[in-house]
Amino acid sequence: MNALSIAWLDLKRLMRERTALGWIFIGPVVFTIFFGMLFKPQPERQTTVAIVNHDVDDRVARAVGVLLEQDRVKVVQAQAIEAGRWSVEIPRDAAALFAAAKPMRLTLHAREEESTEERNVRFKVQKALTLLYLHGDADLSAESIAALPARLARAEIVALKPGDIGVQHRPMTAGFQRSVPSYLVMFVFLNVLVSGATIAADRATGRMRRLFIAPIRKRDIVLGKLLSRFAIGWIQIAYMLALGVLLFGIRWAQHGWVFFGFLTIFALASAALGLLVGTLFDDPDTAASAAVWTSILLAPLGGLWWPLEVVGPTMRTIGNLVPTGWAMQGVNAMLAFDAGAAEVAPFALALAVLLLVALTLATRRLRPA
Amino acid sequence: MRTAAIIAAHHLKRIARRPGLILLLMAIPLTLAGIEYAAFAPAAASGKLPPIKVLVLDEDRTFASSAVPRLIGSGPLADYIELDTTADVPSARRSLQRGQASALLVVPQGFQQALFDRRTAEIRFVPNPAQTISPEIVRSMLEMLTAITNGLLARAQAPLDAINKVVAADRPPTEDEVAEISRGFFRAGQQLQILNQLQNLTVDVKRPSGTTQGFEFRGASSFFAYIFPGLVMFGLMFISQALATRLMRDREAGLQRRIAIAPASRAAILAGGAFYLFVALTVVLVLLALIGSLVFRLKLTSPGTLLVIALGFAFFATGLQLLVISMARSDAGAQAVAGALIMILSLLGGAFVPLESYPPVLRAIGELLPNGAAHQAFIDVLVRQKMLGEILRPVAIIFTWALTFTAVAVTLERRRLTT
Repeated sequence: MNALSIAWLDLKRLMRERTALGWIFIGPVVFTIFFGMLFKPQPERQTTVAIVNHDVDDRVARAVGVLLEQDRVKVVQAQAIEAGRWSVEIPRDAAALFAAAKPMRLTLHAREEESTEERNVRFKVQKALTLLYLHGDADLSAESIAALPARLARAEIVALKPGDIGVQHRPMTAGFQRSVPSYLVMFVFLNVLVSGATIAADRATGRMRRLFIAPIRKRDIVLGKLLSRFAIGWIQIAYMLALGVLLFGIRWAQHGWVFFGFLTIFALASAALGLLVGTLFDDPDTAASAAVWTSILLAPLGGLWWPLEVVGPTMRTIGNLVPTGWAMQGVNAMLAFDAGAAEVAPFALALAVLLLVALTLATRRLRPA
Repeated sequence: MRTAAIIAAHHLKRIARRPGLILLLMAIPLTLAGIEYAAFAPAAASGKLPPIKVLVLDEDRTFASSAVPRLIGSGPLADYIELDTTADVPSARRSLQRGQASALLVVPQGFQQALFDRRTAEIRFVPNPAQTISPEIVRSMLEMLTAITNGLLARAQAPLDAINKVVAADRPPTEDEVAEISRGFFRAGQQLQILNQLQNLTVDVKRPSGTTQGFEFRGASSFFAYIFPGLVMFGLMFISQALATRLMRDREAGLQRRIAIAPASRAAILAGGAFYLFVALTVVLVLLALIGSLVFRLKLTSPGTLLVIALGFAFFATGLQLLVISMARSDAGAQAVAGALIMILSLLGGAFVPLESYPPVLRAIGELLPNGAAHQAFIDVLVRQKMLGEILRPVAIIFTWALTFTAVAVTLERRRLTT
């Protein structure tokens, strides 16, 4: 009962702080929307590529154009390179090199910075050139160029087709489907850790001393402090889950109770870690900064800022060793694979161990002043 | 002026006596830079991503189906794709779920027969549903490989057709047929020389500035030159908030009122606070630059130009914090507003993601913000070796913001001190 009273009073006090409210209710929305829109999967739009021919005749230029158009590229023939437009230069001796089956070099005039669109255009030009050498007749007559699409269709002996392993594919690492779960995990961790660190402020202002001289067991004080931070964690979780459904159309996990249970263990572990951070520093500002620093350090390591698939094996291994990584992998498994309790149990177990260790250490270290 | 210096020195001494908080905040950009280096520098150095693991499930178990992994694993794709076989779909699914592979390739039953029957022989591609980037890279590479394979198979189509005809007739081939099939394969084999040429087909990229690459990795220093300035400015804005909090708390504790009734002019009090912030931030910036130079081997080329940008940004951060505390009624309010502003500036200014990746409108906004302009200016100097004359626009943007914020803050603060 004492623990619940402490938790309730603490929660009321923490929720009155404008900074805390901003980081719980506004910060996650800003981050989620910003990065969700920035990395939203873009519908493939038709790119226009200009072909600038320097060869003695236009056979190679026309053949490359036909093959690019096959790959959904709009092709225009141009006289000169124009700034800001994708342009492919056909070298002077292109047809002669092709007839002799010797390699040729094309030049793609790109923009100043490398972009995804540039990589796509480059890939398509390289593919068109390769297909030309594989399927083009040596003389590159007008008829053979016109027949290239039909010849390619006939030659499709081996085809890459989408397969199915009984998992509905969603763009997990792009757009809101990635940003909402990632920032859910990040802001639960950040806010619970920072609120846990306010234990240092409780000591500095004498609140903790007053609690210790009251007829309350230390166990109840720790439990009360833990529960108030856990409640903040769940407020954050509920807020993000609701936003995900209402604003971003996220389809959360199939096994709802497993998902809630997992997030509960994560919030509890984060709360215990926050309490531990709060007991490590005397200065409240330093404790809060240490909590922010810990969150900012563990967020990218756990794959919350960028997917772990793009980093090397060492960083992936580190991602398996940090609480943010356990949380994100568990959430991803449930969202992408509809994983059940047995499949997320290892991550939940790791978080439970963190909860026990951090809570034990925080209880030992908690002093009135 | 002397009074302002005394006030500033007083604030600075307090920071110097207890530097723990500032040191902790200084560790944020340094740590993040280290993490980003560990995460991305190996790929940037080699010019390619780490090998992507792909599972292969051979359901056909024939000569042709067994050639599929050999084809992927032995050619140029071997550097990019790491293959592993899997026994069945459930075990493949488990591996994908654990993030141990980015895609699954299934060679279905009847693959070889389809080749002989001149029907389309399908290979099924299953991307890891929890990943996007790696499966897409694999898909592109496999599409190219499929196109090449089809081109080569098309050249060997005549002898393959001849074999098929014999198999369909269910009789042994005649001597003429054997000779024709052999000649067909010989011709196809000769044409396979084209494979060597395919590797040499090149698409060079040329940019308006004449460079050929978007980001050229020239060792760790060039990587840090790209990412460190943005992180430093992110960290510096938080440090400015921590420094300004002390001014706000002095005000709440009545210290500023006590100074105001002392024989010190309002201008001196305001200047004292501004000097304190500006000097502290400049020192922090210089320290971070030196640490960057020592730890990350950052080459501080054109130190004069770098100093101009650094002073401009320290001036802006000073103005920002003065403005926030001149408008705030409490420490909590100031922290909430400053925190929100810093986050928004960092997001829009490209602290976490390079501005180059932003859509054009957002990018234009980012370049007009002080931290976005400073970030671009630092990169121009550190990476592109530009001089002050070539980066006047971003420098002007930084100083315009700094002057505007400081002017508004001073006006508001003077009014508050008067009342």
